[in-house]
Amino acid sequence: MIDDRGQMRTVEALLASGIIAVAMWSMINLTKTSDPYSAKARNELEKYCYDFLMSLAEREVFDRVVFNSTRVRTGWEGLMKNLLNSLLPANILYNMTVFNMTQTGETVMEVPLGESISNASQGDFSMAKEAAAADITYTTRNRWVLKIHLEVGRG
Amino acid sequence: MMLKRVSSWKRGQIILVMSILLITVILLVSTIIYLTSTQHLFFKYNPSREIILSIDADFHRALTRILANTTALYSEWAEIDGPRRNANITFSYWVLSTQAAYAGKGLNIETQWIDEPIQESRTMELVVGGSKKNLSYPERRLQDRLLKLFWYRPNSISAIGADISIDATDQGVIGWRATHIVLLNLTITSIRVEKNEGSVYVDVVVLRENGFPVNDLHKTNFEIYLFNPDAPQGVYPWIREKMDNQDQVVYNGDGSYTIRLVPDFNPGKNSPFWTFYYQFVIVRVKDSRGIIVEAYSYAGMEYIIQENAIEPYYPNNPLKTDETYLFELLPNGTIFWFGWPINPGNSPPIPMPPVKQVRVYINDTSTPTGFREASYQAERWTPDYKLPLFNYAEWRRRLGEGSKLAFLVDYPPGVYQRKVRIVWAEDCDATPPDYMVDIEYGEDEVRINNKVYTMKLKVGPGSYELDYSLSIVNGDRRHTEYALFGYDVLRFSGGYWFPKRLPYYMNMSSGRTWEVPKPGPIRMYAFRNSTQVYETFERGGQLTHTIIDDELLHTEIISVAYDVNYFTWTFSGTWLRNTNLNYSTYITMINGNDTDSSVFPTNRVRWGSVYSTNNKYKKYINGSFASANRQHRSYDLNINNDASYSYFLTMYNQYFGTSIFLTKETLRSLTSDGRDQGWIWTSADYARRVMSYDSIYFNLNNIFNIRKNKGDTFLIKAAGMIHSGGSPRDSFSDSVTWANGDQYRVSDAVKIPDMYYRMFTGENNPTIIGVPEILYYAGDWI
Repeated sequence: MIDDRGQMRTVEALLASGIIAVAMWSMINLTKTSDPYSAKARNELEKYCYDFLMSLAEREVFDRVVFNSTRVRTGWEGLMKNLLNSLLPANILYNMTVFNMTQTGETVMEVPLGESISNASQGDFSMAKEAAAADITYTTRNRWVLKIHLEVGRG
Repeated sequence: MMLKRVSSWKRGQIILVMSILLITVILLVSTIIYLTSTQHLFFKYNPSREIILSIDADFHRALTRILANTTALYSEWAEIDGPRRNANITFSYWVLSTQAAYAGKGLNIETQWIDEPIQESRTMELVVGGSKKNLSYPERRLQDRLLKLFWYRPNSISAIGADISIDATDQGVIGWRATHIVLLNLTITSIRVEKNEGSVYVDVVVLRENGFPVNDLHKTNFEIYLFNPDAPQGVYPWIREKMDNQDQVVYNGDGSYTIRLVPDFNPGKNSPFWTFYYQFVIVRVKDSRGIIVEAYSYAGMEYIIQENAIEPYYPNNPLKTDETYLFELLPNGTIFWFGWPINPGNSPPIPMPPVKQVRVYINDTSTPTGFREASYQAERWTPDYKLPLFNYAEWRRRLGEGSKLAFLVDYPPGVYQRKVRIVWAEDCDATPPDYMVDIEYGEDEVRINNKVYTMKLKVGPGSYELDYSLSIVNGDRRHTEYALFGYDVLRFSGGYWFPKRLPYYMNMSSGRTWEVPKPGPIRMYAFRNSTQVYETFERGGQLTHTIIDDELLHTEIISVAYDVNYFTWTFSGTWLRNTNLNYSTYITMINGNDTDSSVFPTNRVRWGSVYSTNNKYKKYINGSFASANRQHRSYDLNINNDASYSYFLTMYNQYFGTSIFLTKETLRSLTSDGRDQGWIWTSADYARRVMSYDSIYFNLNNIFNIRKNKGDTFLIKAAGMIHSGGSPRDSFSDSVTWANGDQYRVSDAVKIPDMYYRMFTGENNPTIIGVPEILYYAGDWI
């Protein structure tokens, strides 16, 4: 007569191991969904974006850079690029577009004011670890309303 | 068997299963704890706070920009409607733009104008030369007008304010609301002089919204004007300080600045600047935001002006219903009546507010405040005040160089003194006075209605063919014509042409012989300035004309004021070459035309009176006109009787009368050649009645020439008046004093010109009683 008690122990152990493995696998998968530190960094980047733009607005940077007296300064984009290069951290990618809110009758359109100012290509942004964007409006001294769109990414 | 089975389960399987369950529970709990603790990191970031804050900040910025722009435009344009319209447009543009800019974020932005107070009512102190003035300012509010400017007071404010509310339903923000007020508040607190160091010290306090001090002002932020009492005629006396190295601006903290000024016009040690005029200061501040505010150290002045022409001679006389003076006030504080200054000493100057801010009040015990608004207008003349500018009545400008403030002051029966307040309103929404003088431009004449009469001024090219220059017609269509200066007589085959030469002017673009711009609220000017003379001569038995332009420089101005029964005329002439005159007439009054004798007989005057220097008949010579060509008073023209005269000539019937009044200086000019006369006659054409002042009468038999040298000047100042009439009585005959007609010992009609002529002589001018009071009141007056 064969004693099958040892075999049953083995089967039970295997089953228990399987259950434990499945449970652990499930837990690992659950905790692997995203990296909270990465998510936090992106949020902070967006907030930083707003804070940065509001800081520029408070210091009337858009008046001083974009305008020369009452006219749009020729080549203001270069000045703005120099400014952004000096104010933003080195590893930050940026792309700024300034729109003039142009009123025709009761309609207001966003008309780009000059070229976008950027230190990166679109490809660079798609490869960035985190990216964020912000928009603010800015009323100039000669009473133009500008919309400033800023995209930033961390490489 | 049963016991055996139970025993085997306990030993292995229970432990194993329990272990597995325990591990599973631990793992699950730890996972839940982990997920819970990190869950907030996975929330999608909602930037609503930043968006709303950025909109709010830009709203504040937009309001600041609007206020800066509006104050700059208002300061330049001197009217608020255009700048306010711009402000409203910018405000709407901002709302639309912001809504468009955030269109994808589900925002609803609403704005609303507010009626918040920008400064509570308060008392402030102004120290002028050590003397404290407590100034009570009323509460100032935004009045749901977006922005309000309260300027031209020692405490002045520029302010803007509005509410903004934002609903961001997509982002879970509902009902966010904020009130924004932006302002600049300037207060002049002290003015003093240090004569020894030649300085004026002005203390000011500059605050922004919420009472925060403005601490970043420099010399370039201040624009300061001081008054130069020694400025010569024709030089604008308000001098803007250069704010150069001599001048200093010191910040004392809490928004307080002390400004030390060394007047650029270098007043002498004995200049009244150091004792009186230093206290008149204009301070304009532009802060780093571009907002402007303008403060004056005083708010107006009050005079007591006494008339001396009628009440002393006709006290409490009910006939004195038309004694109204048109005073003219220059920026240097000098008040004129008919070209005569009446100020005895130092008078407060007029600063440079926009014309529409100026108000003139005269005391009136029948009103609750004791004052009522008088009729007035601001005018602009050439800097030397020789001629009004073509747009002299334009109100969209500041008082400034060449400005003149004209105002009417009446003296009813029994009243001989009037308090006159001249102030400038602090609320920049003040409106200009109504324009009350009507004008109608016809092809050959301009018709000016001043409520009492209509003046028909002949302005067409054909006016030189007429024998009069203008006509005044009252509401009953009764009229008299006036002919203005002319000289020389043409003897031609058909007889004599009076006068041969007339001052000529032609505006080639308008085709008019006078400049007659749109009148102001209470006065119309017609004027001309030319060296041309229209000369009539005979060629081939026909009369023709030519223009000569090297004989006489002539400048003349006709003034018609609202609701008075007179007009004034000033003529100044300069001979440009040596000229011999055989005739010269200053001003003539003519009544009658081809129809009035039959159709409108009441329009035709019947009698005339002369204020004569011949005392034979108690100074007045009253007589009747003829029904055909006759001489009544004349020298050397058919008759040679008494043609003496004085300050007025008048003609009348029972229904109305008209007069000419002369100044004493004009009388002197008339008599300067010893060939003058008050000529009274009835004409051949329609038996018109004619009275004129001639400086050189014409002698049919012995044509003489009176020489005028190059450079000789003469001035004629006269007034014409339409008034009630009357009848003479107690007739007699004396051809020496009135030929070819009845003469009368008494005339009721002469009372009126006798009552009013002193207004125009220059001998009984109004005077200012006492020292004009400088007003520091706050708020507006009435």
